[in-house]
Amino acid sequence: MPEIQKHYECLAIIGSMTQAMRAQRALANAAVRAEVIKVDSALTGKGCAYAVSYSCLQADHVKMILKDAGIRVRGYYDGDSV
Amino acid sequence: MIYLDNAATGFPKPQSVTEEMVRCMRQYCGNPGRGSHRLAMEAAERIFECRVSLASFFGAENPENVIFTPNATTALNLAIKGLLKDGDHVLISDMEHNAVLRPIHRLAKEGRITYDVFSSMATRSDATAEQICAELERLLKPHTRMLVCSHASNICSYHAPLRELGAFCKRRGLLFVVDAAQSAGHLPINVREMQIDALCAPGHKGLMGPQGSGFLILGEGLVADTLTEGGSGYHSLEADMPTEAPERYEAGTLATPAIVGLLTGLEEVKRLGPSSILRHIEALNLRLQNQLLGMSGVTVYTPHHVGSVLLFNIDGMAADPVGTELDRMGFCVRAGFHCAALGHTTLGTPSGGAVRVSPGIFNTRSQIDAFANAVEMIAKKNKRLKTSPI
Repeated sequence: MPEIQKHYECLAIIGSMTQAMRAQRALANAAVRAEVIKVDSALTGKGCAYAVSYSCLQADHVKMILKDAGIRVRGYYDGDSV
Repeated sequence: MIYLDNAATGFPKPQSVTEEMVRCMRQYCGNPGRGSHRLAMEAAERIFECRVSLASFFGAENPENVIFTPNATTALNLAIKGLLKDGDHVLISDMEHNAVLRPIHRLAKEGRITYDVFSSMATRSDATAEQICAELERLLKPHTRMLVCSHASNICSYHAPLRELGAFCKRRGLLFVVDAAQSAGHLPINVREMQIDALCAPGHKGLMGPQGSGFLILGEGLVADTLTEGGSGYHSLEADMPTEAPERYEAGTLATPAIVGLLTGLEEVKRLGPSSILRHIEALNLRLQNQLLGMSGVTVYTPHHVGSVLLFNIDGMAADPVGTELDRMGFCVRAGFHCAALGHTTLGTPSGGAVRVSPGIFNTRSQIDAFANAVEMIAKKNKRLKTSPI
């Protein structure tokens, strides 16, 4: 019987709305569905910030895409750690 | 009424611009980058789309290099005051608008910078880019740090050789700041190819957007001081402004309806094609120029350049009464000094200034002919008054 993978949402914490939108567009260009969301200060320590959320199944791919696009990511969040 | 004052602001606006602005205000005018509810997000998406569109149109590396301002003047102030350091020396052309001269002059008056005015050679028909660069070379000082230059004059059809000036600036390690108030949307501009460090433009002229829209495209990697500080929509617990563009420079709420209007205007410019727009306007100006040059008692300035602006005087009359009379006859033009004392001195216009005509994409040849007839009537009437016995 095949193992059913659970779908988690991961986050790349970006900062500004503009950078988050740029990240979302870079991911969309690579056929990765992502959503811009607002995260609270608990995740940044500096006040609220914008992030992109995506399926954790694509986590490695996302990191590579954002790095190639030159987007500064302040932290990746997989639900357990930043 | 025939509107011929597009160098002041483009009018009328395309219907699509008005409609999108109204749609924005009725349907999605949340505060972009402030919160995450659907209206804020939709507004933010449209703002980002405008950055992407402007970056692509002007050859900028990234959309975050596009910083929204209320107008070109604010963009120029940000570039000039944000990038210059105390002790710097600046070169500006002799065709600059007060939007360049005044911030530079103020910094100089405060003893923070020095500046020299270089000859654009706008009045010469045979001037070359090499001659302008030779003049710049002569004025260079060890601490020269910036060259500020209008791309296209706001009082005549002279335009500066940006590509050559950009190359000169890079060779000499200068920041190259360009005022594209009269050229954005008409003349080709590519910030990478022309090596422009700061491109400043309004949205409400050649780009067909509304008043209240403008932008600065800042070179990749450049960090300027801020003109204003305040909310940036993120990292609110920090007292410092963020270091990243564009939010670093955009304290406070953006003018979302104006920016979506600019985006729609830019789409219209792309649809029509900047070169087609320029051809249309230049053809109208050439038609007008040929008629004015054939009239007795009318002086046209720098007729060897043909572009989007034409400057003239009726001999023996100050500019303002001519403007008033033209308004009475149904024509909107601008008379006086056009916030460009440097340029008027360069062109040698008389103490009463001059009359500026600036047709736009919506003007027609018959409107230009009607305008020329009106000028001829005023010139003839003026001549009769001057020659009739008392």
